[in-house]
Amino acid sequence: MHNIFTILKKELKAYFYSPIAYIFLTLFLGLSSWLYLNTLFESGQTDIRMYFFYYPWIFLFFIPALAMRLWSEEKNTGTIELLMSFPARTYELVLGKFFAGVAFLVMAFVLSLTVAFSVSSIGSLDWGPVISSYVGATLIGASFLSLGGFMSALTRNQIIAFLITVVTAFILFLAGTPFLLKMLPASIVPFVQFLGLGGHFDTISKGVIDSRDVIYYVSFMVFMLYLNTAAIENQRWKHKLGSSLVAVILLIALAFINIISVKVFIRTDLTEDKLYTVSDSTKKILANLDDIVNIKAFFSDNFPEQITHIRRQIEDTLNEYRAYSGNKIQIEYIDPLTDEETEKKAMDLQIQPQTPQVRQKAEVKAVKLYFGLAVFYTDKHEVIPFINPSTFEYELTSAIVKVSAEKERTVGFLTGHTEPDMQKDLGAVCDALSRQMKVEPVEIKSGTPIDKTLSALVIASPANITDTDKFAIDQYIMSGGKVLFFVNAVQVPEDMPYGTPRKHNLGDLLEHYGVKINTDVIADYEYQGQVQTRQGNFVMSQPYVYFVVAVNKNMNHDHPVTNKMNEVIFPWVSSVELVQGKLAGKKAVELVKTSTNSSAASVSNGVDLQPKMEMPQGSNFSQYTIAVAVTGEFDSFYANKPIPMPPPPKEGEGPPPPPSDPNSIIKKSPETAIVVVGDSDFITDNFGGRSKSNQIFFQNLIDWLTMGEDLIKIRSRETAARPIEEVSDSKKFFLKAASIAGMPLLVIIFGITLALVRRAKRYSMM
Amino acid sequence: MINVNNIIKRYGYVKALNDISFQVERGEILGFLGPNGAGKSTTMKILTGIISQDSGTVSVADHDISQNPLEVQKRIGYLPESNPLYYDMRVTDFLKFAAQMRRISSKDMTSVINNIVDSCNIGSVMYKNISELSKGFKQRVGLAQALLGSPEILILDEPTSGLDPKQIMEIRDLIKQLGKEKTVILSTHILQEVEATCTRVIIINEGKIVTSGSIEDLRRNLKGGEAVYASIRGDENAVIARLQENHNISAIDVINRFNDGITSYRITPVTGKDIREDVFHIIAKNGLALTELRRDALKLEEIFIKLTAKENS
Repeated sequence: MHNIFTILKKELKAYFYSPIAYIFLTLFLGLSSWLYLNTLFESGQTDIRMYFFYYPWIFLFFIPALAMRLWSEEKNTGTIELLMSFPARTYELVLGKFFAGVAFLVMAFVLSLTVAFSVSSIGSLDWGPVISSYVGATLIGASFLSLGGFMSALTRNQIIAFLITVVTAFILFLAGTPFLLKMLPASIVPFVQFLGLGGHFDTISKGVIDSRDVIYYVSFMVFMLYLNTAAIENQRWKHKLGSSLVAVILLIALAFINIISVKVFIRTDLTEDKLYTVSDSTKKILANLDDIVNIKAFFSDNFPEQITHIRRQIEDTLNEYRAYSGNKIQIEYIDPLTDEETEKKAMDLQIQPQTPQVRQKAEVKAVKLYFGLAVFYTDKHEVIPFINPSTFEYELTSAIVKVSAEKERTVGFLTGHTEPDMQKDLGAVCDALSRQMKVEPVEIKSGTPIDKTLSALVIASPANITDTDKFAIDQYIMSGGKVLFFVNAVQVPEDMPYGTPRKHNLGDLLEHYGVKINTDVIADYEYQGQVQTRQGNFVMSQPYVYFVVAVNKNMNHDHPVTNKMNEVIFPWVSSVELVQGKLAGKKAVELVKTSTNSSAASVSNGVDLQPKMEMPQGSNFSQYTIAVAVTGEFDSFYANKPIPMPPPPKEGEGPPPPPSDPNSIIKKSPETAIVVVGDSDFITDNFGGRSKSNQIFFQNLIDWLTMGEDLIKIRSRETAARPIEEVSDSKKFFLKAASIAGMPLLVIIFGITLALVRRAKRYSMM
Repeated sequence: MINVNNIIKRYGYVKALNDISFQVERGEILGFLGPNGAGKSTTMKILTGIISQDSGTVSVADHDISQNPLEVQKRIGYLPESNPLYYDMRVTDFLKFAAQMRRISSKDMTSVINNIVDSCNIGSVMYKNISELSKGFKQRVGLAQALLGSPEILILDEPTSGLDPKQIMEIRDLIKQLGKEKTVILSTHILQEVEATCTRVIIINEGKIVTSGSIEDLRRNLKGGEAVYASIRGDENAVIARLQENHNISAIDVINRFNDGITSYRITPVTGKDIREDVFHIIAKNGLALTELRRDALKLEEIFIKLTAKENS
């Protein structure tokens, strides 16, 4: 260690006591920031990836220049003999020189931080990718350095060392870029991509530090440093055969480590919004794919600069999918604008272009963009007509689940009890659901059981449920069925804000299962929605305490349905309670609660629901549960009761159905689950059904009941655009000047000062 | 102190060293003598662990160099051939670097460097870049580097080459000084240098040791080692004829003819005889004028010629 450090210091000083350091730093800082800042203000985004995009290209020429002197100079001047006469091992000399180069690079990076600070001064910069990009730049830079060091050890001529390094680095770098990969047969693309130095930098610079990339770079360096040591050793000790053998063994060992690392890896997503982290649920779904899923991405090549980052981000996500599927997912990129035939293919798949207005060089024009994809699996396919980045993962995973599911899920909505109509009232949520499953109405015919193969049954706002209906529902649950009870205990007429009890008739059944629905209406004075009221000709919006808004802090954080939910609106909701005596052997969780500043008003005798402007004095404020889930084995409500007889048939209808056989009653259910919410308006189009978070809450409930927890955990995420603020031209100029010229100038001034100080000292001694 | 046994070193098909063995005792100043390409530097590089021998063993202070090169290198200060130095560094930085490589602790650093700076007399150039120094100063910086950490053994590859006579004198004095405490091996192709500084000499040619021993031994063993150089005014033939009459003289060679009638000769005696007085008497008796008479030290080249001739015969 001591020797490595001594050599490191000596080499580092050598950089700074000669013009090399200043030439390198000036050109590197000036060039990299000039290339980037030129386009920064046009892109309008604080995306720093374009800055680091240029790094490897600059490195291709600069790092060989840094590395060429490491050994060639020593050999040429003969100082290598001096160096080797010191009591130090060859590898210590090699490492010392290598780390000096790395340290120099890191210094250059520190000086280049002005660019990141400039950008962050005019917009919100995500520092995660900045950090990971510097890590990546250090890795790729150090890799080039190790290569250059080895080449330098082979010759006493610095120019030759430089040229060989540039050429080799160029080939190794290009191997990982699309430019070269396009020309190769598809079967060897992944292999070449892995070997290339460039591709790994791409993934790191976007904000994800992945053990696969780090191990790849470190392996490359280890191998090059070994070759470097062997090259020097061979000139001393002549063990050519031995060291070639070791090199081969080392290469095999490193290849082995990399093969393992591709399978077992960890990655850290440093981006603020965890943009590149595919959720565990998706991973689980992908890992369980048992056959090839083909994704055809119809992306047109004419993306305007302002939004290319979105396209790149989607491509990155697709790559993650492929990686986690163990290459079960295969992706083909197609530009539908290549020719008419290709475009027709996209159209046939219902992939629709959009034509956003795009500003290009002070000119605004419409651009026809294709940004959709189709997922193929055996004979089934699913289509995302135009990608919305914020819900992309959910949509894609859903599509994959849908095509690859052995049996399609079917959700039934109970009808025939004045429930909201599936088209007219529940259009929004049914639409959303139908993207993933079949949605169908369920009518209970006298005496026939509910279809057991339904994945789940939604009972939304029923009235006057009969005993035979209840028996059917009970037996559906007993056969393992899953039911969502969205019970309105309050009836509010359309034209008058006045609440009366609604006769849902489910109280005793639910209480038997362990949940009590109170006949009340909750007013939340902390978080509430708005209503519009008409006063004369004016429409006014005002807070409405009876529209309870459930916020994240009042949701169950340990439950996948609710842990990431926020702002779900529940109009005229009633409180629900768990009946502890009935829950033995079952697991019950409270999913959603109101705020602690809520009150419950009984509606037994009717209640006025006019908007209130102020908090009532003297009410008892408390927190109320409004949604619960119960899982476990349920006992039948009819276990010890006679089977309810169906009502006698009306005139003109057929003979009464035969009574059910008492022995056919299922008295105990297998493991199953029910959900009870004290409201159903939260899914109707007129109230909460159009709210995105309400839809997600509902979908989460369905998904949790029908698919386990896999899909639910995929949260919809906002990919925040990070626009640049409006900046005056003078500030633009200042920011550009500071990075492009300011830093290089500082470096030069430092160099001149150092030289002058040394000069002064030298003459003062004479 | 140093044991070299049967080392062989090949560069490609050329045997640079062909079965060389020698010992150096503590306190000796050994001169390594030979023409360019004789194998001096190769031997020294092997001794300092820079390169390895193909076969044979080298041990320094009971450490085998192949097994334990670091232990050997710790004990050796080395001045490589043609004195390579980091020209971009200042003297002070260079010495600090070398001291660190020699594991001198930072608390001793200043005093160690100051001592060496004094003994090598380089205090005035400490803050100069090495590239700016005169050859003599560079040589002293190289020596100073070799002396850091007071190694028991100094190996100096042509320490005086390229220096002017005054600088040569200074360096030789310095080496003699050092030789009082240390074992020194120095290589040279100048016999006077060996005469002036060494206690023992090894002569090497074409990768083989031709001879070794003390300076006197060496001279004595050489046939006609005691030649005399004489400048004589007078007829050349007469001079040669008169001299040849003396049975102690075995050969007379004309070396130079000067235009004022003086001719210089090398007069080689029969082994073991001092013929200076004989020459003087012969010249005086025959009325010739002797303008110069001195013992003629054999040039190294001539010794080689003789030695290789001896080998061949």
